[in-house]
Amino acid sequence: MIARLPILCAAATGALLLVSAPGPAAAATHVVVIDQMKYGAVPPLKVGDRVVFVNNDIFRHTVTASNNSFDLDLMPGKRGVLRINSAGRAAFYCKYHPGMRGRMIAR
Amino acid sequence: MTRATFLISAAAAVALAAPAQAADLTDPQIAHIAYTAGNIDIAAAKQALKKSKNKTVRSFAQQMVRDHQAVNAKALALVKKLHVTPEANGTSASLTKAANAERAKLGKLRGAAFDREYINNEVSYHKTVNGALSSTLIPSAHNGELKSLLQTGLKLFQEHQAHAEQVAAKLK
Repeated sequence: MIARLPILCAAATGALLLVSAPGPAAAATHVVVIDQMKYGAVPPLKVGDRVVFVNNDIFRHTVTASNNSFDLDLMPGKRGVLRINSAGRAAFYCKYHPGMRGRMIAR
Repeated sequence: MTRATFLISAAAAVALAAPAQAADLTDPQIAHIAYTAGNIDIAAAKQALKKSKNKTVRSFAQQMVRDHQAVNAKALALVKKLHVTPEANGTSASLTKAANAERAKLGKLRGAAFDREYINNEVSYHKTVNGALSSTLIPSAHNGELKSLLQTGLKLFQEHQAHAEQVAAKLK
């Protein structure tokens, strides 16, 4: 079951992570690599964390919420950032490659 | 799967498997086969984009063009870097011959009949290429970078096969 999605903001620009305001002191940044038609595992998240998706594949991919609440469209070599705003679960997939699926849990 | 689709699949499988069993493939031959396999799917997708009005089918075809062009661009860059000239061979010739026959068949179909045949052939074609990559092309590749690119291609083809199966189910 997918709870209300915990994403505050999503941006597919490499610069966002550098220029956005710092989060709470305990917040962490997690890097999830997309490669070989797969998402890397998303570690357990806490509210305030950021998840940076890095597309190391040679194909264009998306990180799209199953309920469409967030959508990163990443060209090869690009990265995008999600910031976790509240606890919950989110399932996501690639719009271009529907077999690619992942999920994240924030507490 | 229709009888016609099965026959095309079987023919393509023979085309891919027989020469590989007869003699070891060289890297230039493998590169040619892989590039040809990608180009065949791009050509099929372009035909679908010309003929189909089905949104799902067109979206799938656009994805085939985008992904296979990406792989083939990488393949061209790799053979250039390795100073390898892809070498035409019986397997790639057979693939092309089978693809030409399928293109002619599709050329005579319209509407839903075209969509079904295109997608069903995409399922069987990707399945056939997956088998060839796993059992012959990847194990036979000598160069590590070529092997790695073929492995990427296998993952792509596997995803495309699953995607095509999803689209085929929607068309029924």
